[in-house]
Order: sequence, then C-alpha cells, then structure tokens
Amino acid sequence: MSVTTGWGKRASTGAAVAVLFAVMLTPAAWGADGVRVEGEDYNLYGSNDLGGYPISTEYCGSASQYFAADGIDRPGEWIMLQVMVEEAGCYDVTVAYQSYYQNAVGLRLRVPDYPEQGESLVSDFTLTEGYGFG
Amino acid sequence: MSAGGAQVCLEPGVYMFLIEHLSGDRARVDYVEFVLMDSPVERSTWGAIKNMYR
Repeated sequence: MSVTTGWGKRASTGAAVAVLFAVMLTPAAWGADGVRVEGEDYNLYGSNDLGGYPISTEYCGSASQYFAADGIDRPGEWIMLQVMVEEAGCYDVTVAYQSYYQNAVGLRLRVPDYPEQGESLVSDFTLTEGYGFG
Repeated sequence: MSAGGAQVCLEPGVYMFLIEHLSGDRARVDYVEFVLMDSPVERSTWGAIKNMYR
C-alpha cells in the first residue's frame, strides 16, 4: 500500500504510525471513477475456509499490488471485504480472479443485510475459461 | 487474470460483502472494483430500482 501525505520530515514517528493505522483501518477509498478493493484485504475482515487449498494471501506477479486471496475452492467458502460507497446509484462490479487453465469457476458477490436486515443483494460471476495462475 | 462483471445498486454507506465460491475449482481473487455507471440515476428512478430488490 502506498501512502502519500503532505507531511515534511519533522513529522514525529508516533504521528506517522497513527496515520498509518488510520489508513489501514479506513474502508477502501473512493477514486474519480470508483473504488478498487484488494482481495488480500480479507485478512482484515475474515474468511470461511472449508478445507482443500487453504485460503491465504499469495504473491502473484500479475495481480494488482502483487497479492491476491487464494484458495477459494469449495462451495460455501468465502472471503469478506469492505467497500465505502459515497454516492447512491448503480455500479458496474468487476471481480478479477484466476483459476486453473480451462477450468470454469462460479463466484458470487453477496451484500448481507441489504437492502433490509435478513435480506441479501447477490450477483453471480462465472469464469468460463481459466487462464492459469500467474 | 480474468474478470466477471455484474451491476449492483447501492446507497451511500460502508458495506461488508462476501465473495463466495459457488462451483468449479480453486479461485484466486485479485480485486473487486465498483465503478459508478455513466448515466446519473434520478431520485425517482433510484426509488424504483430499490423496490425491485424488495
């Protein structure tokens, strides 16, 4: 994670650490066109691993910021992430992911308790042809 | 890296969301991106869209 601040060299170490934690705990920031939530951020929020390949953060040379959440390989497994929406509206959602070469994978995005408590907003994604792990 | 896409309609706020495995083999999730669709949504239209989910 790159953090850019306007602070000069006289900023104290304690203050810098405080800012770093604040950035780490702040929901993914909103950019001009939208927001990108890194898969590996599940470490902050949780996951459900039912066995098989363990859910873990893996180095990935072709991934955004070089890391990804790996091992989501059994029905019912999930990773939890967080997004901050600043403007009401409809959003194009893209999930970028990898799988084994020529394997199809189905994933689902679920927003629990939305629009009402006990309900869920869901969208399914299907990768019809894997390109291997990079 | 491959990508799947869909649309969701949301109100302002902080949301926890899940990426769940439904079928197939091992997946490695790089990122999830939310991009506001180009056309602005009028308040009345937004209300109608919300009702579609109820």
